[in-house]
Amino acid sequence: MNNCIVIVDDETHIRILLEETLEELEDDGIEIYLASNGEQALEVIRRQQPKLVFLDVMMPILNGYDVCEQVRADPALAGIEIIMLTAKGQDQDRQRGIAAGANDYITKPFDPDVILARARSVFGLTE
Amino acid sequence: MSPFNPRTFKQILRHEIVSNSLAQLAQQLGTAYLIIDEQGKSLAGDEHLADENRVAIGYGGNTIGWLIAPQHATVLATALEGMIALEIEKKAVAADGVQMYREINMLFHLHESVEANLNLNEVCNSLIGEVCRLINCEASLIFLAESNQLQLAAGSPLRHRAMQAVDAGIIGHIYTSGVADIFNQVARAPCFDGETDYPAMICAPLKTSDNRIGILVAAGNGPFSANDLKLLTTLASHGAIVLRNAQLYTELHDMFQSTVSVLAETIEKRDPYTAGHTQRVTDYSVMIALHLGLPLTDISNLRLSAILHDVGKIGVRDHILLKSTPLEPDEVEKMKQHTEHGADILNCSQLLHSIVDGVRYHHERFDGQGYNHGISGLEIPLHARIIAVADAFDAMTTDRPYRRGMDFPTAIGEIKKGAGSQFDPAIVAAFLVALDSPASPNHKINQE
Repeated sequence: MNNCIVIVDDETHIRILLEETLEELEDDGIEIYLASNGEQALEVIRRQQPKLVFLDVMMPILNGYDVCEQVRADPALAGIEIIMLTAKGQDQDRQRGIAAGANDYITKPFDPDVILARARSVFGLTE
Repeated sequence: MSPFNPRTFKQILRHEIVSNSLAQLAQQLGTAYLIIDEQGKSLAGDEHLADENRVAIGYGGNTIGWLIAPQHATVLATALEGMIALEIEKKAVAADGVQMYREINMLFHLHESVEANLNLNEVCNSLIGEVCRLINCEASLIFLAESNQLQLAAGSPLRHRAMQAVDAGIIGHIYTSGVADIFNQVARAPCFDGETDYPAMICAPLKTSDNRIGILVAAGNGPFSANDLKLLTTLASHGAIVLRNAQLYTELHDMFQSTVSVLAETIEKRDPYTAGHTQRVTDYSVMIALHLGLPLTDISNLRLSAILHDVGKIGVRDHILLKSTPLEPDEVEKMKQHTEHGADILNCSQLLHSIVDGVRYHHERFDGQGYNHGISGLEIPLHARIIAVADAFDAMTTDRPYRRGMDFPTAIGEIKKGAGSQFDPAIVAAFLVALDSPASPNHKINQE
């Protein structure tokens, strides 16, 4: 696994906001990659072998659950931390996400500080 | 314009739309290219390209890197500069967006932590907790207005005076003007009167549409930014509503308590022989409840029930209530009606419904031989079973016109004897433990 994060969301503004939130981690040598649909996500994840993926649930082509399941089914991608991004209050989404193999979920609108703290802990960084 | 962060350059080049456009343009122009940062590190393009023709890439009048290309280097650099400028604008919007997300979450968090809370101290503490979490400061303080003074209600008084006239000093100035402000050099503020040791403060008024409640302060070494001011103002405007709710609830609660006391006092005044009885029965009842581990809200209801357990005696005629000789059988029947009178009185108020049972059934016996309903065992509501023990114990240990009170050991013996017949044995057991406990000096417990 490489010191990088993949952000997957079909909504441009969410991608931009997450990237902006996580940008300061680049000072610690962590690279950030973006993907705007499930198919692209799998391709980027396979290429970059990230430690951490922020994965939106609702996406065209291949949704977040599908991506999650495919990552989990691939032995070459073992150990990747996957955090699903779900809309607030959609409990079934969370359960399905966990069932699909996600490590955790974060609700939108996300708290930038929670996102940062989560990422820092995955990379063993202290604030 | 903020200083250019080198990582931004790298980040921009990583965007596919930028890298692809640049690559396509270079291809159209028929040239290879290499982009390096100020330190000469390759960022994009052909790493092996010879550094023979380089053009500076500028942003905001500064060189942030170099574009190397054998031909058309200037065209490529100009195109890249344009894209960089656009990306940086986008980043500024994104930074605003992230800040907005922070604020949305702050309000959401504040809502969760304080909205449902009606305890004034807890609300204050949650609020200063939020200030310290969101604003880079050393301390947060809350001052609440009380009779022309601003009184420190939460936060440490070590570096700020705990009391300030509403028209003096910095917080007085903010209170009077009703407008939040930043003081990055506190000692230089015209309204400063030596009230604080903090070098910098932001103060925001806590006010609702028709009430000025107090002041919310973030204090520290500073300097504080305009954004800090905005955050504190948002916290203060939201916090003021919650604080006002808590204040109103406290007032309502106090009013309710004093109404209850008035009722209890009325009956005590009519029957001087029972003076102090109400208070002692209440103390014993609470003591038992604490030993039974009842939840605090439950105990608070029990307390009210105990205070008012004999309120129905108001409905008993004086010649019976105050009689100094033993009662005739028909008088006994009338006296027994006091539990029903009490329940009727309390049923008049929606607020008192939850305490009716303790009053109505406090003369029922565990074996079913009590009055007025003859219910038994656990059919008798818990509060009534507790008050029954407390009431009987106090009645035995105090002097009556027609007999002297027992000493404690004798009365305790009587209570033990009544366990299972007159009283619930579990309540008796808790009462005996409670009487022995060091937490009940003089067989009394402190009231809340």
